[in-house]
Amino acid sequence: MSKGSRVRPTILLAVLAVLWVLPLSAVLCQVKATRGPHELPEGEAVKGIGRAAAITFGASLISATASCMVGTMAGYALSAKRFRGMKLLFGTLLGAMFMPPSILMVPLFRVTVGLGIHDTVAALALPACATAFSVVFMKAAIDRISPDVFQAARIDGLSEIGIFTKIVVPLVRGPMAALAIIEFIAGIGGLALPMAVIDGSRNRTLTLCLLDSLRTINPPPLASLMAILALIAIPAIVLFIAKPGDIISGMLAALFRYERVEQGE
Amino acid sequence: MKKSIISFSAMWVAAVAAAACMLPAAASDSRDGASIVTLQTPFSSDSLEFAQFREIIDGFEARNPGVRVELEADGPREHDGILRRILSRRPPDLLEIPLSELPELAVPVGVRDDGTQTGERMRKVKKMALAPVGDVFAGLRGSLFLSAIAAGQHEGVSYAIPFRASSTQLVYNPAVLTKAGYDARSPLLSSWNQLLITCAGIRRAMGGAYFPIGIDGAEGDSLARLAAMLVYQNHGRVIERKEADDGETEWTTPIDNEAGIKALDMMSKLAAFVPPEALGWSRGDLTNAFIDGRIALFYGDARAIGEIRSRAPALPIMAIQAPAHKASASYVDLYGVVMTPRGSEAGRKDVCDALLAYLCSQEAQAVVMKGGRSGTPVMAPVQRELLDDPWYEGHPEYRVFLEALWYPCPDVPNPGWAAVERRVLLPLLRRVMLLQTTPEAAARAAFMRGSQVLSTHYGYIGHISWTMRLGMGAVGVFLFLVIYFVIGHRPKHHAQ
Amino acid sequence: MHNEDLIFTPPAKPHFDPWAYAFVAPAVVLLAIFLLYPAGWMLLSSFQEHEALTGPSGFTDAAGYLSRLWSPRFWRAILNTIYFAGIYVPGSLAAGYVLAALINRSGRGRAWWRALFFVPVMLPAATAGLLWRWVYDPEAGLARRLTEMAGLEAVDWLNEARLALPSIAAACIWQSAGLVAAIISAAMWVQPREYDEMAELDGVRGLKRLIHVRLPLLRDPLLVSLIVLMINAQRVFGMILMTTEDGGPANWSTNLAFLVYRHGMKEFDFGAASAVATLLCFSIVLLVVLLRRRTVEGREA
Repeated sequence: MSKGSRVRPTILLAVLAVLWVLPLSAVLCQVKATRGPHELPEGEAVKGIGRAAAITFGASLISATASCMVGTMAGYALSAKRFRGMKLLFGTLLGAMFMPPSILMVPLFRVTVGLGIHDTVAALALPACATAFSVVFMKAAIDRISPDVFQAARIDGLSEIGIFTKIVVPLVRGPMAALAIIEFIAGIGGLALPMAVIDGSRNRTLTLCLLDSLRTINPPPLASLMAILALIAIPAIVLFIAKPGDIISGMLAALFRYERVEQGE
Repeated sequence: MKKSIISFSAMWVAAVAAAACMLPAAASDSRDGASIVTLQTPFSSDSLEFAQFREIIDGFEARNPGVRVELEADGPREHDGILRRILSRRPPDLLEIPLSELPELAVPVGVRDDGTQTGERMRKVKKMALAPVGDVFAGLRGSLFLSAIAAGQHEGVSYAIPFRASSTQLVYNPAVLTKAGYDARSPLLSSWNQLLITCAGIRRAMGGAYFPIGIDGAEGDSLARLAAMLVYQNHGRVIERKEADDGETEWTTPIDNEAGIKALDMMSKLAAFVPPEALGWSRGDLTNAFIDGRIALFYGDARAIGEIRSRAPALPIMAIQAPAHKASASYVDLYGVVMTPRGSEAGRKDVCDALLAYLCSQEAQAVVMKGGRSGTPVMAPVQRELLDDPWYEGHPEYRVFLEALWYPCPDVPNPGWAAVERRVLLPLLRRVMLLQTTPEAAARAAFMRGSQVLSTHYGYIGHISWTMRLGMGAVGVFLFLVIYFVIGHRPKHHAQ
Repeated sequence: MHNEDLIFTPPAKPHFDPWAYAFVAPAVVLLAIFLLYPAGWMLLSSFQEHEALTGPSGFTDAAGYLSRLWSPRFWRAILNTIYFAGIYVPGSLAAGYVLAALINRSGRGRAWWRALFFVPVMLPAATAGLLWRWVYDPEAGLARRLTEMAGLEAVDWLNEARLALPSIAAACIWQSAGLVAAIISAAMWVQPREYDEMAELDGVRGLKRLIHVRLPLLRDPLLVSLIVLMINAQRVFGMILMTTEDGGPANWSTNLAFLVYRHGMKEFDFGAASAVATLLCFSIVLLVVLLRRRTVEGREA
């Protein structure tokens, strides 16, 4: 392609990019701007940001790493092994991945009440410790490993756990990190889960703080809320920029990958 | 290999341990034989209301050794949050709630105001969210304000003990009024027109650039309340209900009618006397302005008076009831304490009953009246006999708040008024006062916003006719067929 | 992939593999507690008369099931879902296609452009929702400034009945265009160039070339994107909640997923919530099945 015909698309892209990023960058501008007339009154709903941030990031960190590990294990089994019930399991997971978050709010409310962890940080971390998305994502990632590798490993006499830890995990480090980032970002910005399992304001997450402020303070002090929003958005963007390639290709693979398993049936 | 198993399991143990650390310690119901009762209040733990409540509870515990009351803060204020709290596995035994939410809780969930059940199916309801408390204060009935008692009742059954009340009144600096030529002890402010005339008079006396009145707008309630009062005085309504042809109930906000427009017109006239930047002020800014003398009239509540008193004790201030306050039911916020089914269980009920009775006693209500240790009253008590307390000699501006309870709350057609007023009227007022649009445009905006809010509470929606429903069904089936046959088949394998 | 030199091949038939079950166990256990049991409860309770306070009290019959769904609000939610999908799906597809075409032409920086437009996809829905609520704020928001610059009157995007849903759809298009662009550009990149060049030589230009040459080559990723977008259209919840808390003016931005939330967590009518949820699940499952069929490698060589 000649250089000339590359410039015009780039210019167009730059214009579009500005348009795309405009909403985001405006948040940052608001944050820097002086606290305008929307100074928060007593601030009942927005106090405790520190604690909320700690809870949000802590719970998401735990659930992201856990779901990463759990997903890799299950994804490995689904990808490299053939076991009875795998088709059913995979189908269920694929379906569960796409469910709207609001559907499970009521049952999760009841489950956490029944388990006795309602309105605690455990209820924020546990349900996300294993997600259908993580299993499907890692399965797609492990699918890309050629089966010859597994053959060779088995010939070499490695045990099952050995194959997993010495062969699989090192090979999918990239996708694992990408998955952890995706789950972490989804966790810090999650809305349905905290709404379902947290009452009151002791164990709120940042998104719950935002929602409470929107509801109780009238008019909503949007400018001040943007500052809290930045707490969520900026880590999300920064983390994403760290490994964009892996994340994008991983998500595409999860959605779009041709399955190999069908061949054997 | 062994190392990998060990490290593997170590990871899992660590994760499980971390998770376990987050699990709450199991709370036991009684320790050392003392019975523990939990009570939740909607106020935050660093607020004066909470501190005063704590003081009252301490008094109760001192009287009843062997009983401990755990006071929790940051409770829910709206009925769905309150209901949710009751449905959790360990609800508190008692809850302090704004009594405007009581009707939504006192009926079984799924039943509308007119008695029809949601879902249009008759269901047998076996339990209620709240336990009746009528027998608790049989002896105290005579000493409480009737309006307060009535606010805690639903269809003749008492579900809540009234506890304390908050209201907004007009606070003024008598020195400025005297300078403007008015009688400081009882200025003529019994109608809105008189208020406007008084404001004009103050402006003339103090100089043309003086803005006499400030309205506590930061939390929104005062502004909304003010506007509601104006609507009612013009014989309008904020919410109306009518039966549509297909039997569905339609709720609308008729605020774009004549009465509403008149009210908004009054608001815009009043806006001329409010400092332009004041609507963005917090309550702290307003009290500063009042103390500095930059405004002479302040539409505020007991807490505002308390702040003024604590910061400028020597400032002579008076309070009067705002014009036409009697017409609105929302000028007084009554807070009461309700009992959940958990609190009415045997073994807990006695303690709960005693606590509820104590809350209405003179001892507890005196703390509310005088503000307890902090000395800053933030709510009015509901005990009628306190009206004659000599404390009011030195604090006449607080007596007004108590007197507001004399007036019975008018028939509330639906209990969502407070929320509607807060969310409907406030944005509209901002348009009138901040953006200076015409009352008609503001009314139109209020109508749209009002229908949005009403759809939350009362399901107002536009009609969908049968033809539209059938049409949608046909479209859906068609789409499904298209999807299935066009894209549902397996792709042909492309030559690579 | 089929290497005949191997000594032994793994058994191709699914069998009882204890190690596999061991690896899958943690995921299955956790999912069973927090996903499958709730889903099963939801399915079951949709058939029951269930008020939150009273607990389940018997099973309804078919008439009862339908009558519970028969409210005008339910039909409004369905209409809104279809309407929303009608704007969101074609919009995202078009935007994604344009972006993908531009990205693929832009030379070295391709990966960066793709990542840039993918950022909104990564943003959690609630965050994006609040962001767009600020954008659409009639007093201080970005949209207000833009309309001011264009000299138009301020519009209350989220509170006007007819504008609420398209505004939210626009926000969702902003979020998803990057994903579609990534899907399509990945496929475009591996596309053989010959068809395009042959068409150019044949003198087929512009729109004709687009429709007859380029799009059919992209049929697979386009259809996959279509299905994913349709599934996404039904899942939208966080965005609606943050922009219009109560489901919009006169319920004009309630969709089925939001209605589930309204019934369940606001009105505590668990039976109705479950019924709507079950319906929604079925439609999504149908689409997922189609997605699976689309992405399965055909056996014909």
